[in-house]
Amino acid sequence: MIEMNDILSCLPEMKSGKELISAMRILPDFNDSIRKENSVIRLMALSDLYNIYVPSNMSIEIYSKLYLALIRSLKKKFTKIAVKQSHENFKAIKEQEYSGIIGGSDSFTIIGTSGIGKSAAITRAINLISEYRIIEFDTPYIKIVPCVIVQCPFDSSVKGLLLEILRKVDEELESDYYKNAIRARATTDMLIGSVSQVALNHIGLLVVDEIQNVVNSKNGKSLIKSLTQLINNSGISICMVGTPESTVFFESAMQLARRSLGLNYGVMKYDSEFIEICKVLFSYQYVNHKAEITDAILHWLYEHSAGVISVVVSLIHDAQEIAILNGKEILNIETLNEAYKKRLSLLHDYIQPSIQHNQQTSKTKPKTGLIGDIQKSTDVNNSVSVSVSELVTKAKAEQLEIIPLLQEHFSVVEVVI
Amino acid sequence: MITQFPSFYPDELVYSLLSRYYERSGYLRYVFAAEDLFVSKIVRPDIEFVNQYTSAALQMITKDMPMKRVIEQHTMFPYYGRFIDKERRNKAFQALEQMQGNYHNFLPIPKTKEGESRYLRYCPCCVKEDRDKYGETYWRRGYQIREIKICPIHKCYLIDSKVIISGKVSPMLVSAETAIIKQVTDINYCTNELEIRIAEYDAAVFEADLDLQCNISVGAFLNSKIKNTPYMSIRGEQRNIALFQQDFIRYYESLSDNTFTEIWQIQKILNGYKHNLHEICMLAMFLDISVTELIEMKLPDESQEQLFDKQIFQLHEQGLKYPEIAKRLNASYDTVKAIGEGRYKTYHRKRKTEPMKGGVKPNNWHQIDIDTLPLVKDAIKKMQGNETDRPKKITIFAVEKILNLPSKRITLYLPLCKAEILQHSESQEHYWAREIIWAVNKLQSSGLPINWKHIRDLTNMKKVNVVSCLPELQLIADNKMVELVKSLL
Repeated sequence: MIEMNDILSCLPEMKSGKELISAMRILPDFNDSIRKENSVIRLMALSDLYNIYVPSNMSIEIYSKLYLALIRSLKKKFTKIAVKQSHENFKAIKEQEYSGIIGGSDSFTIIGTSGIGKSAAITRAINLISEYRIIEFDTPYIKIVPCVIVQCPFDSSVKGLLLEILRKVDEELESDYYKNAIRARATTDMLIGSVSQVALNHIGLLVVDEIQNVVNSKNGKSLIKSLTQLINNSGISICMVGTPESTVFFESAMQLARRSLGLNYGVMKYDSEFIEICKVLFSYQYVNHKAEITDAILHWLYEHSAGVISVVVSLIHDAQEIAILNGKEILNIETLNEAYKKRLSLLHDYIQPSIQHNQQTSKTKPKTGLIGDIQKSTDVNNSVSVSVSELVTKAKAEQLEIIPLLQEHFSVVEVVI
Repeated sequence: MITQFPSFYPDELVYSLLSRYYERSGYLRYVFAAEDLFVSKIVRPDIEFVNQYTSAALQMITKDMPMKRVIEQHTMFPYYGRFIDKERRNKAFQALEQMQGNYHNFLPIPKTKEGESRYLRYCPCCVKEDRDKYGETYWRRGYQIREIKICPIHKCYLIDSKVIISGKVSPMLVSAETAIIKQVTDINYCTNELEIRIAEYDAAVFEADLDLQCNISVGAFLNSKIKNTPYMSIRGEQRNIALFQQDFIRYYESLSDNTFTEIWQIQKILNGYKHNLHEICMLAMFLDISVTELIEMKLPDESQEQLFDKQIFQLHEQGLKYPEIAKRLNASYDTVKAIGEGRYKTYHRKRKTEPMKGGVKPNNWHQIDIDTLPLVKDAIKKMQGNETDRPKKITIFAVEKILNLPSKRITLYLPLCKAEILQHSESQEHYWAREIIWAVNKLQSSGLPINWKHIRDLTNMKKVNVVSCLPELQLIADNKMVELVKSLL
């Protein structure tokens, strides 16, 4: 019989703190000398930006959650109950009456806005946990894949998901479950029995990504029910990853809500974590002229990404691409703005940059006139209604600053550019 | 690909292990598991022994122990093979070790009687214990011994499952956990002490280590244990089998359904013609032979006859007269004197000539062999073919057919003829090469074009056969012929 110590010895030690952060971080090699290369080489090297991974608190939490879920799942595999459950699963395959003995309360969700790095964090965490791609035991002989990631089918097809799980297992173990399932032309019920058995034998943790696909699909409830059955019949931990729109779906019933407790993440705040990520990304410059990141740029990046890291990466990447292609060869607010306008136009409706505080980025122009002829009205509401064009004409004629003039009559919000 | 495989439980059949593998595999059809396990996926899984496994399956089965131990501890081999003679036992063991499938030729496996069926059996108490300990139950070897009806551990009667041990059912692997669905609550316990004792004795002998090199016949051993009992004469030459049988039946009176009662059955065991484990154990128990003695059979250094004769010589050397010796040994005076004078059983002298016997006269095979040899040579020459006649493959069977001899005549009785035929024996590829050469020559001589169609019409060969015989062709034909044949492909 396999003991807990045997299981733990087959997994890499659980990391924490700085060690974990260091292990999760991915920083591609970068040499300043690349800036002297020709544009083709620099454009190709630019794609390294997408390989950068800077861990955050979210990454740490996800890693811990997955690791512990995997341990719980592995512990269940070598018990008497697991043996009994395997016979129950066999009954399911034979389309006889069966029951889920092993039970499973280990399902949870990781919900977060699209682009904040959930999948990346999960992938990094799984890469660390699955240091040994396959765990092998001798007595009894068994091969276990620590983590299997599948995508929820676009049409929430139960059979599609089950076959995908078998296919992923075959990829790792070089087995023939998928091929045999196709050959057997199994019904969904039989397939659930088979996948439960395969999961009980060979899977530590199952991650189902894009779970929000269940929301707008008529098969969504069936898919979640089949996942529930899979949990009950295999005893493995299942992690469902998706966007906030799936929260509404899980809240709709108690049994769904119970199984979808988990981690919930929103967009990043403008804090040290965000700043650190931006600084790291900004340090990878493939343009000829190196620029330093300033607070203004950081603010700009936050406002124009709405705290979504994937947008930040796209902005910095595309800005450099544009700068290299049009010969400007510098990464600054101008090129960033160009990238935002030209490449991220589809996101404009979702990102609403707001004023933080007036931050001068250039020297103020000397005033050519004083506001003396116009009586200042302190009460904006009682002011005589004038049009903007009248004020512009007046400013031109009297060579006055337009902004103070506008402020007398309207509520004006300044935007730092 | 085998990605998981259970380990053996104590005293588990190999069939049981494989069925647990199948049920745990997640395969939707039995045939997928069969493809993993057996060389031929349509083979019927052998319940009592082994099949020909794939290399991956064999690796898994033998991962914790060598095949030798698997056969000794997880098949029914000890039941059928423990007491047969050494040569047969080793051949059977080798056949199992190499998974040749012909072990049935060596093991005395009784055929199931018409109308009777054998099923895999289990002990309900053991099933409960297994489920508590392992989470599942399994098929134990010991309960498949035909004559054992009770569990030697729990003393309850064994129950037949629905898994039939037959060569006629469809191939399938059925685990005990699947076959034994409900836990039996109404357990029938045996109260017959003798039945319990014999079951324990049988089980102990069955589970004991096997000595494959033991060359002591169990009949001789049992006979040696009968010496100095009322069932053997003083000198040990004759058994009082009637008394033996009488006492044997009385001893096992309380045993229900005992069919081992006839004199001929007992004699078969004592004379070494029958090797049934249960019957041998019954005899051993009757003779008060311990399990250890039966397992580690040893014959005395001197037989009872030798000891008796030795006593006579010793006593005579001491100066005793034969009447006195006979009295002392409680033997017949004539016998004692004949032994002492070295003429016991010597009056049966060999005749100088064989007596004339009536009936069928024996064949003079040597002469027949000499007479048949020229005919065999002629037949061989004919089979080698000529311009018109297609060559045939020279085999013993083919020659016997030409000469209208009965089957096996040459093999068994005519060594000279056999040697002559074997001189000309050839591989299939060599024969095909000869055939090709003949076909090409025939086409050339008849003026027909030499193409693949004509060659095939003459020889009925496939292209793959021609390809396989090219190396032989290169040895017996010239380069021109070889190139010509190659161009046909």
